[in-house]
Amino acid sequence: MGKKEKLNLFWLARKGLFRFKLWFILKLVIIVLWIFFLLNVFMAFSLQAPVLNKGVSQAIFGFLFLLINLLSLLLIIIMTIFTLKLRKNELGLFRCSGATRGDIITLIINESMILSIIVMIFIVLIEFIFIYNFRFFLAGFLNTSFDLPFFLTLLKGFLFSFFFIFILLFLTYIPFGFYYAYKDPYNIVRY
Amino acid sequence: MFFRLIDIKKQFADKDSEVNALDGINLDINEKNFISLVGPSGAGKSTLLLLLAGLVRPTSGDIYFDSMKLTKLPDREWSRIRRENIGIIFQKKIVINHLRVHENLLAPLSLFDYDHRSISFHDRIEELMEKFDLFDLRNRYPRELSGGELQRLVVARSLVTRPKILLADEPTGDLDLDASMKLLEVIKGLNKEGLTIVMVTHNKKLANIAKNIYLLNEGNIQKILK
Repeated sequence: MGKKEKLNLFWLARKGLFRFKLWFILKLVIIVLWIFFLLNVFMAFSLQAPVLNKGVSQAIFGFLFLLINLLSLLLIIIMTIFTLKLRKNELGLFRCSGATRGDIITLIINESMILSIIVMIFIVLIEFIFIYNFRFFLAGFLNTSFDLPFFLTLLKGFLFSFFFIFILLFLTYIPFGFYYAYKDPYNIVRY
Repeated sequence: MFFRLIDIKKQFADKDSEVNALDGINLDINEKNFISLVGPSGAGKSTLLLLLAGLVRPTSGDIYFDSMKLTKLPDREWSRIRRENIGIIFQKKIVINHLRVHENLLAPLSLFDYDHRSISFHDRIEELMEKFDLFDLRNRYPRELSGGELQRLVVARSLVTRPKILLADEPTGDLDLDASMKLLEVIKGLNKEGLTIVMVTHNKKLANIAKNIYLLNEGNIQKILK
């Protein structure tokens, strides 16, 4: 532990997130799925007609969009359950050491906050680097000029991403925080 | 009197019926005592330990700790009492696998919201690492430790918050006799230093190291063997 680090639940959450290799790999996969899901949603909302009408009919795209996103959401939920199962000993031990139910839930919230920040950084990078350039490419292709409403659309996309990250991370994480907070901790660590 | 249990009953719901895990236990645990709980499987030893740790609630009866009635306390208060006063050693050698040895010792302290300006917890960690020969292993992960080293870490971890009572559920678990005796000598030494200890064991020979031995059967104290 570095001398300037604070020893608290956030410290523990950070260690949990980055040290546990299998867990971290799973988290990265979850992050990629999140980005995939959010970019799909983002593109559907902010880059609508020019992309959608090029050769693919609206109905087929709509169906594929729904299917892919449902599948990615399902994968996210399954993998989150799996990753939290990997942590059961730690959470049980922590509760036996005197953590309140609130501490367990706080630990889980801290981890989901760290993860949200990582996802946001990824999304901002990807949106700026790829979509922004893609937009310029499209603008050149369609022979239209860059305009202010595009920035507002981009901003709308960020806010939309934020909303989804927090809501969905909470939906996938928090129930398990509660599950481990209320489950008999001794039985968690014993069996 | 440290812990006082009065007419404690604990029932668990089975498929169709209810099982009496504890059936009217009365027990006083004095400060600095060392008690072994022995008995056959299903006698209620572990349940009694869980009750002392506040990890399960009795169906009826009262538990007092330092003259404070615990039975009706909310979970938050129970957790605080556990955090500040109780150390637990589990049958399985459970540690946090992604934390290094010294971080495993720090982990329970994260509940106290210490910060880097308070150096007392660093002193405590170093003291424990010296005491349990873990100093040279401080940067290793649990998977890199031998069985004996891991057991020392488990014991050190249970003591990091300076508990007043140590609850040990089959602490010798899967250790061989030699390693078991060594561990019990450590536990006995802790008792000599003033730590109250309640230990559950199947093995009557190992139980002999305690000052008092209670034989549990069918959810009650059948006999005081020592």
